[in-house]
Amino acid sequence: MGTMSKLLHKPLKAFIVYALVILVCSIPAYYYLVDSIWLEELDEHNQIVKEQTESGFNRLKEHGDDLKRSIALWNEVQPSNKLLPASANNQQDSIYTVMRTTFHNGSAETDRYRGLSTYVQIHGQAYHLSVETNVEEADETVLAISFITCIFIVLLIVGFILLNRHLSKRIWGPFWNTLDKLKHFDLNSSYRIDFSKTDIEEFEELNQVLSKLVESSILTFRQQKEFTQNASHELQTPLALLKSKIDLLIQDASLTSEQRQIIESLDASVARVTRLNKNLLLLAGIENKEYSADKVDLSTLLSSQLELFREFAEIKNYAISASIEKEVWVKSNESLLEILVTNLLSNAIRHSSNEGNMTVALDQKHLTVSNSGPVPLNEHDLFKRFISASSHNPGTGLGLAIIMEISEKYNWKVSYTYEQGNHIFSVNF
Amino acid sequence: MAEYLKGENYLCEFAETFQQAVDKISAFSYDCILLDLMLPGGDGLKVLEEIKKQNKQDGVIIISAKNSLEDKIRGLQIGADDYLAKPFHLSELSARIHSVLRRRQFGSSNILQVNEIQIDLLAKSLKVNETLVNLTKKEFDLLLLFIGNKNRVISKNALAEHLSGDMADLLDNHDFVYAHIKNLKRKLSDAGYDNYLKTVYGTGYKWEL
Repeated sequence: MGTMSKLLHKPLKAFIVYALVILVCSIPAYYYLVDSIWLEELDEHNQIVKEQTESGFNRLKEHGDDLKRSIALWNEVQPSNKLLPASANNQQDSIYTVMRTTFHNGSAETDRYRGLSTYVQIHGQAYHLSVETNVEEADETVLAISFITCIFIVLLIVGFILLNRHLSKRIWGPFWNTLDKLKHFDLNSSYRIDFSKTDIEEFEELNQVLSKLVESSILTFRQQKEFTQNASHELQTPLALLKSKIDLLIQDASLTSEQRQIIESLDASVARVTRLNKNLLLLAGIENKEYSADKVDLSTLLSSQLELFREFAEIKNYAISASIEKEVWVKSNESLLEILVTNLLSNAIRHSSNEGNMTVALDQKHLTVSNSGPVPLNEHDLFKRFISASSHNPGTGLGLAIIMEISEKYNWKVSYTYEQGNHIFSVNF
Repeated sequence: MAEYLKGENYLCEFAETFQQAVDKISAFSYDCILLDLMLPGGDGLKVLEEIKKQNKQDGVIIISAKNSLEDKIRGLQIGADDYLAKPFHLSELSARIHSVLRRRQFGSSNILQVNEIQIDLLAKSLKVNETLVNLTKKEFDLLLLFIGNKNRVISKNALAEHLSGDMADLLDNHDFVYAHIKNLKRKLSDAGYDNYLKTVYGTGYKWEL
């Protein structure tokens, strides 16, 4: 799941990258705009200074040395402006930008200046006037713009994420709702899913399609279950007949021993089919919820079941050891619990050789049955129907499937492990 | 089924539909009624209700193809004596009928006398010529099965099913049956009882009287 990301995060990423690119591109654009406005304004300003200087000096009634002193004083007071006598009058004005280093309070400072070089007439005399005005340096402008842009980028990203979160909650609400219902859907329970109404067309369509799909699945599943159940029921009567006829047949004293052997194997086969059928019916029954649940004392139940098995184990020369905690109450149907315990125990006995051993342990939360066995079983197929662990065993191949089915009904967890030559089956309540 | 039961000297009558069944139980009194729940024309349990309504004392054994717990509980609650799920061995049926009849015939008495043996059904004890023989529960069950099926061959499968009940998946092991029969035979002959329990080669066992 490492490379997976939520649907809305994908456009979010693209939006953020796009916004970033646009904003970064806007930095030089803003710079050129601001700078050109600056320079234009300053040129205008310089022009005004020129006009004011020219008219100012012309309005003075000073001539000769007095005028020279005034001009010198003017030059002194405004170091960035210079008014000097010029030889010719008809020279062109020019505009320029220069960097000048000034010493201010002992430290050198380089500033940018916008200058106007022009000529003025003061009382008939031509003067060269240069006006220079401090302009913000380019890097300072860029810095300021970048700073503002960064703030906007941060605002945008935060906004996107918040909006996204809000939108995903609102727009995707119906989708999560549907997904949640699908996750909790259990075909076994046969409850139809009711998807909630939504005003988003796509989701409404999705819900409708899903509803149809679920309904047809439930129908198919139910038909299949009913088929199993009906088929098993239908088999009961002919099986009963077959059994009765065999019982009658063996009463015949004239049978030869060969015939008797054939009948015996017939009888064994019928018994096997009967058991198989019974288990299939049981499985179908568990699925169809025909059982009520009470609090059952598992300790007592297990002990009495073990007692039955002990008799059998003695004949097989088989050791059973048990540690059973008292007063373990489990909420379930007593018959089903008994079937589960019986199947676990008989499974353990059936799959171990003579003179093996079995250990049964019960505490408040777990029931563990372990038995000796040479090879680990295939964990994957173990609980499937009709998968017998070994071909020569006499079981119906449904024992573990029944255990699984009962456990699933009550939400218990069945697990199988193989440790140090022991098969261990445990049920967690 | 009837053929097997005739061998036990029972007289059998049949009702093939729900209506026939209701007519017959109203008209006659039976020792034991085998009631199939899947009667054409009506619910078998209704027949049972009818029997009880008429205050009849007939013993009733329900036979059902549906091995459903609810049917079983309902049937027994209404007043059936026993419940048997299809398919079953005839020997099993015969033993159950025997037990129902015994309860009806002997009334409160729980002692069953067959030749030199005396069986106390309540105490689950066996006396041979007044000497107590200790039997395990399984051996006692076996003995009752044989007594309910006199002179009949009972197959090993039937015995195994009778013995292990719900431990269905262990049935295949006939050693289990063999061991119990052997013990029962030994205990009976040790007590001086004639060996009526015969092995029928390749098939099963027979209680010969």
